[in-house]
Amino acid sequence: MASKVIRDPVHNHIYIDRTRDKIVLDLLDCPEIQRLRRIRQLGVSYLTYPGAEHSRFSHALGVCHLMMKALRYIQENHDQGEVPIDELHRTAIVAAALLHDIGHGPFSHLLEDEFGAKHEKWTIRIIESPETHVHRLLAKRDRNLPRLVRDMILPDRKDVPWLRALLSSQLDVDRMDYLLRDSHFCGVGYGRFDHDYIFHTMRVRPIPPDGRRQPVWLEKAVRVIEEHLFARYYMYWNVYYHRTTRGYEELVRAICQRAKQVLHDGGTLPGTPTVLRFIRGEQLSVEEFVSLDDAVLTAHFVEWQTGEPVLADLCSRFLNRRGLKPVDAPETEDQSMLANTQRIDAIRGLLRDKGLDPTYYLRESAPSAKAYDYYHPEKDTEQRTPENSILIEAGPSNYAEISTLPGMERLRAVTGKRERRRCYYVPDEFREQTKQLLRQT
Amino acid sequence: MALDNYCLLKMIAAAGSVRGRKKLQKLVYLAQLEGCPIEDRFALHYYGPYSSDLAARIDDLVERKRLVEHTSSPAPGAVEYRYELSPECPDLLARAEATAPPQVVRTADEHAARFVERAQRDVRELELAATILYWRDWGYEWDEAERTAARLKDANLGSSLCVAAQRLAQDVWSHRLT
Repeated sequence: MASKVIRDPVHNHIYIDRTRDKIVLDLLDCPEIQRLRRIRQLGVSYLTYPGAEHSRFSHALGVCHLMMKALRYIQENHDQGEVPIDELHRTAIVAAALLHDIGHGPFSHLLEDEFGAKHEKWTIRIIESPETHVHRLLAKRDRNLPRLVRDMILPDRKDVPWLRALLSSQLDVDRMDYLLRDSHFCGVGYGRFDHDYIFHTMRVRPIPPDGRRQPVWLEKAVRVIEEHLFARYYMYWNVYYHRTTRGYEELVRAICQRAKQVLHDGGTLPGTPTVLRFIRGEQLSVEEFVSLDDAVLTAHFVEWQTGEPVLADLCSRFLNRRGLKPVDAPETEDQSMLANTQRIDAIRGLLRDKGLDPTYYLRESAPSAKAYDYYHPEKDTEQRTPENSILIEAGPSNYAEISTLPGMERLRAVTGKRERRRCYYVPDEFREQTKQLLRQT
Repeated sequence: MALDNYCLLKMIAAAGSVRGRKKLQKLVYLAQLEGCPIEDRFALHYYGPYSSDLAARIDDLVERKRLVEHTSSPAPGAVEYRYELSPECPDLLARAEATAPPQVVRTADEHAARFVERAQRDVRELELAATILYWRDWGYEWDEAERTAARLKDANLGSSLCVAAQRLAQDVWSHRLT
């Protein structure tokens, strides 16, 4: 039977074997996966990069495609029996690739911490919950499959094969697809790299001290991997942590916090019971959670444009792209903590005098490695794992972390130090005064 | 001085020095769970909760001469790291403290006191306790978190190591709740 072909702007043709990978085709039709079409991959980045409208659905499909491709390369590049993969575990890791982001809530990572939408937890709940279409399909294929898929995503067992590293490590198919896809849709040129060559040069070896198998790369791959790591670095600063995007992320958080406060103070807001429960931070059922997406929340922002004045203003700013404006924080190291506190207090006072609540109109954002990160290898050899280090096969049973190799000075320059650029966000009309207040000694 | 660096340096200062990057990682993870304002994100790695943010922060503090990194080789091919404050850092800490709100200093002192006591413990106990807490924080009940951590660390649930780690984990969790 001919493979199903899906056209994709990043990978061109995605082939899915209608017999061997029937479960992928079946899963794609589940409502929980179809919902990912209504969640943008990059949250509110589309307000900075107009092309960044791509969805979690296309990313999930891309990750699944790269996983199948990686597995083919592994089979071709090892002797028969050297790296055995049984069919059930293969199915589990391919399904896990498709399902790994199924628990994302509205606006992807944006509301994860404050509104109980941590996507890893919801992903596991959706896979484990007997009431979901996804669970029923997996269990129908094999009653152990939901647990195996869960084990490929959640690192709470160590008897899970090395396959998990293909999905979650420093050089995994998830990162590969999002870099390629995000750079394509943002229209930037620096997220690209030769992923085929990375697969071609990947080997699975038992690594000292405990002999656990993990992916390593042949020495000839170092330049291509370096290209991938630079792609991550540039995407981190230019796309994922773009100052404008961070400002709109703060605005969405401010909207949700304001709505929560209004409800807490006994006010009423128009909205579906599920959205209002989400805003209140209440525990949702799986069924309730999967009813939420970007479109549902944005429709509420439209509704809230009339009514409670602060909430209405914040929603209007978001919908009409009149966001808060960034002001760089001064270098604070070795300055007194009190002086910084006083500067911020002065800005708060300025906003209050003009009738604006600084809780919502003075926002602070400092990039961290919460959702996206560039490569920072662990220098303690004992602590090096596939999750924090990329190993290069420098000789038989001799593995070196990539940035320690000769000729990797350029890579060391960007991986050895974590930069933190803190920004404050205020309405445009207070930007200059905020700059001056932050500079005051 | 940024609040997170102040807290980290204050804890290391109180302990005198910390031997091992793994130990430092686990100690900071426990402190963070108790509310110490270091926002570095931890993920579960082979040796328990690990933060590349924190690893980078430590390297950055060494580069800026706030910390001194000593290395030794306890076995062929192995490197052990030890961290202590640089000679000029106590003055910087004192200056920051002189202008810090009293509550900030008091909280940092409380975290530092617990850090000193825990820094004397065996790194395996810290690793196991941190792993139990990782799963407790994920949402597992105590018995499930302990079973999961023991399975990941090849530890026997009734062993003295496990019992000590469980006690430590519960102690940390109780401070978190208060």
